[in-house]
Amino acid sequence: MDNMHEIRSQLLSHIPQPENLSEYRSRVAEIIQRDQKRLHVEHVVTTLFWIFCVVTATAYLWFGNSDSPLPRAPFLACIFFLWGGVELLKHRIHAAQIEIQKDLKQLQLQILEMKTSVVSRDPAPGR
Amino acid sequence: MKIETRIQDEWLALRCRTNDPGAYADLVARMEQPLLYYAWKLTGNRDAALDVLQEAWIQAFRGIRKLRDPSAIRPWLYRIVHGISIDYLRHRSLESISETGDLESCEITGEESFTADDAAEVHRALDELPPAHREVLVLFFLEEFSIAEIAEATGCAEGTVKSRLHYAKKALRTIISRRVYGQHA
Repeated sequence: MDNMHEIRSQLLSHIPQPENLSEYRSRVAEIIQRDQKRLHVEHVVTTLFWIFCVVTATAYLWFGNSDSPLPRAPFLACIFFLWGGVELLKHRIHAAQIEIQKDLKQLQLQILEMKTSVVSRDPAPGR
Repeated sequence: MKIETRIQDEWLALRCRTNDPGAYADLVARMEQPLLYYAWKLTGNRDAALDVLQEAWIQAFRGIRKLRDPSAIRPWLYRIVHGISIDYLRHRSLESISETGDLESCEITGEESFTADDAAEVHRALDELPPAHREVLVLFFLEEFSIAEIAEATGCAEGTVKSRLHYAKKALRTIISRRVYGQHA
């Protein structure tokens, strides 16, 4: 395995430094920035959409014609509220799952680091 | 691939998915060198390799939230670079990356092994191999990918990868021996 690691690092040391490397780096930084912006905009748009849905559904419930023999508007509003609630819950659960996975991986990494440091400190525990 | 590498990759992928500050920059810093080497060996042009890599980052950042298995981020990134490099080669009407059928049906026998002393020769000899063989060897040497992971990165069947790797190693050993023999003669 160390042999392969050595080959890897030697191969990577052959990477040339192209003339346009600095231009590439600045463009990648720009791509990252643009992507962060896109995610932020997506988040804002989704939040605004949720607010719009809630406001519309509330308006339906509040101003809906309750004298009607078939109260379609309140019924639809309730459906949308429930649907929205379920979707929101699903999203929260998924986000929590990812956070837990992330913490777990961090913990695993720490354990591995500790293990490596113990092994390197005491290479032959039997002696 | 080492277990530590896999866990680190997974953690990084999860950080990217949760949009942690600096996660994307960390991903670029971690993967830039091997991906650049891979793109360079595939395209044969260092400037084109940078363009390929830049396009790969755009696709990766867009798709990382949809990545089902975060631990497979490394083969997934190689696959993106592979696709863009192939497009580049097709666009330039250069070599075809397809393989001849007889290679796939061959028996796998003994394995060639390489040491760290061979690294400089390996680097030079890679360019003399056909692109399909060069590609699997780069993935093998750079990442110690398993057959399944190479297959995932290159979009080939595992049997195809197995035979390509076998013949590529043999060809590489022949080229290196020829060179060393030539130098001593």
